[in-house]
Amino acid sequence: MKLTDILKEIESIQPETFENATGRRDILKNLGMKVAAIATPFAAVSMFSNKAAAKTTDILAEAIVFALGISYMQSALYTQALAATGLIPDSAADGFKKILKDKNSQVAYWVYQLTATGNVVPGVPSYDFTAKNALPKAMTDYGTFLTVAHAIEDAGVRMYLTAVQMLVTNKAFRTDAVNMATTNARHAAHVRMLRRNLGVDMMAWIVGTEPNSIVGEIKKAYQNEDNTTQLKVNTVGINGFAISFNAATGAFDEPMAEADAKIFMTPFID
Amino acid sequence: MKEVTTQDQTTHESASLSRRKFLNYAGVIAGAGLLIASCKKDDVQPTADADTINLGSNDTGLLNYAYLLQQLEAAFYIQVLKTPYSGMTKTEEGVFTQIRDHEIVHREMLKNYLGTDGIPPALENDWSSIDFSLKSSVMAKAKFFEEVTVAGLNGICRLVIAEEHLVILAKMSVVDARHSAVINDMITPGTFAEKADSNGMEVSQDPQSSIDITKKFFKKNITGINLPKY
Repeated sequence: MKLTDILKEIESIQPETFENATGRRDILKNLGMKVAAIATPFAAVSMFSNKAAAKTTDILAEAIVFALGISYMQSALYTQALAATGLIPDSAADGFKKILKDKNSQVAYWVYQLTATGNVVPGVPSYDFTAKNALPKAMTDYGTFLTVAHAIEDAGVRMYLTAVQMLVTNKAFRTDAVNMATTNARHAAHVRMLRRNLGVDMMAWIVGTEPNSIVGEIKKAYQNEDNTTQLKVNTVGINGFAISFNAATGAFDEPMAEADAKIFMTPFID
Repeated sequence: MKEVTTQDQTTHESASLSRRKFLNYAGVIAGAGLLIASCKKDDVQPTADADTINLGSNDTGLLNYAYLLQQLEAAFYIQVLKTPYSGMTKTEEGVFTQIRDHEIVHREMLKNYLGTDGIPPALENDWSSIDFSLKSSVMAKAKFFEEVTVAGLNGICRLVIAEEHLVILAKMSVVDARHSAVINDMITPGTFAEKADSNGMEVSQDPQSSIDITKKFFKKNITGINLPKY
């Protein structure tokens, strides 16, 4: 069977029918072996150079676990926030319920895929969004909560971009990750505009390294977001257009490396 | 097809390589695994004659479609701000201005990257279905263009071969999704993520059906007949 056929087959099978498709695990294993055997893309070379025995399936599972990590955290954030008395105003409750619904759906989807492919589903950590009291009002003051929430959303978009890249060899999974990334970007935009409505001068997109979020633990969400070179093209003042640094950096979100993501998330995990 | 070696990667980094070769090599190197099983001889370069724009094939064609979408969005917001509807608030103007600038960045970045493989810049638009003097018409089209672009870029992400192309498209698409959420909330509060399905995912769209609903906004005919398909 050609690799493209295998990919097509994977893509054509919906989660519902996967219940009975015991072949998925074999397909994925088979796929992994084939990709590992024939693919020598530079990304893979650099990733695998010190791990001669690494299998592509490991990368796919690693990417899904990575994406699941931030989705777990986001799901917990809104579950706690919606349960906290007096935190979220009634006018904003429906929006946060919608966001939580999407996050829970994303978690369920990845948990399903890990299970279906015979991988270990990581446990859900216990979260403390005060970051061990570094942000004492995170779950009691609405403005502080929004600041924490949009940092976690923006960081989440960036982590999903990283997951997309890690999933490059699998068209189905990488498309899933892209489709979740843009949903998460919608959530991020909504939360940021809620904060704007409180009088903070910010828009729905990340500008530079986010001057409105220079609080200790949170600012790491925006490290390296001030990139002004895309595909080796400088974007400030591009082709003579009046493009400012803010517009140039706002036009793209940047992937967040796994190591940086860990540094960002660790303070919020008990 | 010749085997890809690390020597090719070195060559690929070399500035002396032509843009066309660069795009092809990028695809070959980053997508070697996928490409070997689907080696294609029919490499079609983009063309533009008096009536029709052909986006081309492979990654080049897909990036040209992304470029077309960004041309459409940029031209739309430029027009919105040039002939503002009556009663446009400062907030609305600010939102449109920043979105316009993002779309110009997307458009110009793709233009420079594609170089001689790009479709012509500034393709003339057909705005006959839009009344720029009416807020409702402008908002409805802004919503439409943003949603079509996000769905379209995500669909391209499924098909593109080179890793760096996948990443740049995803990086653009998430910002267009931010635009889309804001526009949606401006029209009907709380609809920022109405496009998410039951898995919390955007519903992406394949280039063929996406082109079918966007080409009417261009005066020339647009064809993506040589683009990769789902």
